[in-house]
Amino acid sequence: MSARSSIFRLEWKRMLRDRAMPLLLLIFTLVAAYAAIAGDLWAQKRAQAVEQIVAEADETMALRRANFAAIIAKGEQPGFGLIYATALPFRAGLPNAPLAALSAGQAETYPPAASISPFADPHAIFDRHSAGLENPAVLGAGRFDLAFVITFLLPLLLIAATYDFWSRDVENGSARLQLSQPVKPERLIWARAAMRGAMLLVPTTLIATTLLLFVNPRDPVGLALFALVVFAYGSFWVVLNAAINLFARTSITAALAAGTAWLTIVMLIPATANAVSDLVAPAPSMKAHSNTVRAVGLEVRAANADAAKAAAADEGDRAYPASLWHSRREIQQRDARLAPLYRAHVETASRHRTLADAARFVSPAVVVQDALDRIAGTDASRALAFQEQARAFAGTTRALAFEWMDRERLMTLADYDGDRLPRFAFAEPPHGAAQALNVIALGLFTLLAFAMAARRLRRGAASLL
Amino acid sequence: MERALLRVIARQQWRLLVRDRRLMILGLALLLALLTAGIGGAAMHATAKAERAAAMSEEARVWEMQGAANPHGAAHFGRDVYKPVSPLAVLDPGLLPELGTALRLEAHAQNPARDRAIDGGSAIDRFGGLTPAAMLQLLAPLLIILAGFATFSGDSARTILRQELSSGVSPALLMAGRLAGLAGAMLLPLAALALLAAMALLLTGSGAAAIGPLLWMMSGYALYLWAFAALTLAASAAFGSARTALVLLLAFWALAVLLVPRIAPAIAEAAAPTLSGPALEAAVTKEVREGPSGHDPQDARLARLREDTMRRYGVSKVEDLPVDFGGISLFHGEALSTAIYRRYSAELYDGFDRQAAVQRRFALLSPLQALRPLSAGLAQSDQHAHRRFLEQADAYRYALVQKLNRDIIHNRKDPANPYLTDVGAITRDQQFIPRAVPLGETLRRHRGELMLLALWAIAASLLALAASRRLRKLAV
Repeated sequence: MSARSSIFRLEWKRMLRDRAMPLLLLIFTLVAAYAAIAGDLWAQKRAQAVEQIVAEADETMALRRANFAAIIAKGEQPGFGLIYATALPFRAGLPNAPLAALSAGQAETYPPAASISPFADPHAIFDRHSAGLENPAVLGAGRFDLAFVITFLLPLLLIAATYDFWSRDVENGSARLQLSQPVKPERLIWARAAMRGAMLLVPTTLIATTLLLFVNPRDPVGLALFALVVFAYGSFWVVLNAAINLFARTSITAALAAGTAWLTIVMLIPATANAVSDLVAPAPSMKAHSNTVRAVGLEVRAANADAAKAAAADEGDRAYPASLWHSRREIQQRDARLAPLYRAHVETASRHRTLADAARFVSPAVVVQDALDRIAGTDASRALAFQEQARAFAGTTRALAFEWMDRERLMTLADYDGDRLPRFAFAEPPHGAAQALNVIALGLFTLLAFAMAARRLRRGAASLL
Repeated sequence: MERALLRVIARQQWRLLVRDRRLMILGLALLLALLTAGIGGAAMHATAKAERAAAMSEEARVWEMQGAANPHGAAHFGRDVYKPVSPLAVLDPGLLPELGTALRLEAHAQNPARDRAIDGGSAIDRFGGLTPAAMLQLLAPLLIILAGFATFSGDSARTILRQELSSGVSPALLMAGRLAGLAGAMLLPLAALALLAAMALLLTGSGAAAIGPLLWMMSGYALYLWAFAALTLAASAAFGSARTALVLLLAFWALAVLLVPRIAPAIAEAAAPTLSGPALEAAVTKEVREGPSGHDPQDARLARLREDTMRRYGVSKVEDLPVDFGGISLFHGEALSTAIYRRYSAELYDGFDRQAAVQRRFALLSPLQALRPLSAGLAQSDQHAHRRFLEQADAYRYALVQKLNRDIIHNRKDPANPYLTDVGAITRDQQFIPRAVPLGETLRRHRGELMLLALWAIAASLLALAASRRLRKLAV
């Protein structure tokens, strides 16, 4: 029997005798199961809300169609909103990704849908949906989802399982005996740490992945990535605890150091980085921006006041009234004036977001949160991709309305019944590069902890007592 | 004699804490973090205050910019109002990041507040911010546990205990002295924070009226920290092994400050569900369209209003009315939609209140569930203060829109042509001045939480005294 397998067997027996291990696994299973169910309910509720918003356009069109048909039946000609392409209602909704139940992420801080009409300002299409009516207390506390369990609680369980794996042996004297055996100290320490960590980390990874599989089995790649991320994050904590154990003389000191490490890595560093990024690159002032946009709108309106009066008085004989042709010219002028303002606003917001995004690399906890959000499709970049696509779709609807105006084409009953009007479909953005960076970062954090421990181990067996 | 002895024991506890360099470093780190968070918060607060002032003045200019405009068009253009931030929100921003700070007031609609700090976030935002309240709510209890878990347990503590008990001191007095020492050490940074905050409030002219809420807030934190100090000493006295005491205390800390505050809102949301944003909007739209009874369509209501108006003015044709019927229709439509919106809004916020009541029950498991609402309530950064702001803003919105509608009723003479008037001049006397929740009302509203905190402090102290009976056994 090799020395390594002897160490594994010894650690295995010790773990089997440790009554805390089954308890920790039970706690994790219960907490993770609750989180998976809560996450699934949240995801369902969100999907329903988005569906309801998207259905608004269809309901409006159904009402208009009934009205249209009733007017035709009376032998009259429908008018206004029933026939003008400029009055068409459209909705764009951000659908849930398959594993949305995993993490609420940033989903509640971005609009989930857009209300679009051809003449609407493409930057104002999210306004109606930018603030949901979720209880702010729930938002403030944060959702109890699997991502929370993995990011915040899994490290605590791993600390509870491994915080004294070596320091306790130093305390009770058995470390001296172990080091006197013909086994290299490095091999002894790492084999024991790996065994102890794996005894909790492997089952917890499997349990969490299985729970997620039950919630939604449609994304095997996402599930595999989830398992990899959980394992990588857990490995970091196991290695860090091993390193702490090599420095601590007593198990109490090891517990204090591990607790402090958790507090620093999971709470203090992210909170500080968050505050610093807010101060260094603040988000743009929405209040000032909103006032500027309104002022520009009024200036354009004032500049066109005479033309508006003339258009209102013009009874013309074209399919679309002069007032709509006037509005068309006015919104083009307004959008041209607003374009640089929006560009500047988006750039400032992007600077703020880029810094906050880069700040995730200050702590493995933030890296893992980001990775889980991306797997769940509740990350900021997916929400921003939706905004970009919805704006492009708004452009399509405007082009359609302009084309119909140019062709003097009005809505017909066939347009209401057919499938001729465009519908929004979300295209998933790629996130492979960001996820690769996250996994590499987790690996680097683990290497850092490993290097700390290795440096200590190089001092020889005496330094471990 | 006993009082003098108590002082000696408390002083000794202080000395032990000060000599423990590890704890000194942690304590100083907490104080530094508190100060950093306070200064950072104050800087953000000053920026937000300046931004609000600038936005208010710009918004007023934009409203006036409309010049001659159609009053109903102006009512749709709307006005923006901005929520004032209480100076105590520097200490506890509570739910402000989630609540929104700007509100668009317009005809026919009651919009939710916009411009939330959480909007457009990144993964790092899920870790919260660095605020003095977070430091006191999460870190200070942990520091107390780390400082006190080995007070009676462990070999070195047992040696000191043996000497103390052999000098004739009763275990209860010893426990009381240690508790005074440990809690005193933790309350010192709290007192320093209160003093600095009070000075800042007075010097910056941010509001002497906030001193009262500040003192009440600090009293809440004192009870909270006292409870943790007493529980820590109780565990230390109850268990011979310092390791067991530490593990149990850390488990309680994780439960009280991490798990319960996350699970309680989710359970409350499930127990007292409220309508989602789209569902609420759809319900209001349906009721406006079909009438409150569901069988009174808009067209029928309009026809009835036309008949009633002509009868009141004794005319048989709308054209003969001395007032504008379009304006009357808008006036009545606004009254109806406002009543519907207010009913749904009240139901929504009553639902949130029911959820808060469910959450409060979890205060029996975690004192943080009592402290958080109390602290945010006193800082005016809670849901209730927000609701009050929204209600005041809606009263202003209604008055503004109806003033514009009344102008149409009385001054629009030619329905065939667009009616334009100086809307800025018409509405110049309409001012929005939000009023904060009075302290008395806040205290009445949160007396339950205050009592729960006091209960935690008393129960934990009694537990510590009960555990002190084991001290003689520990010393053997």
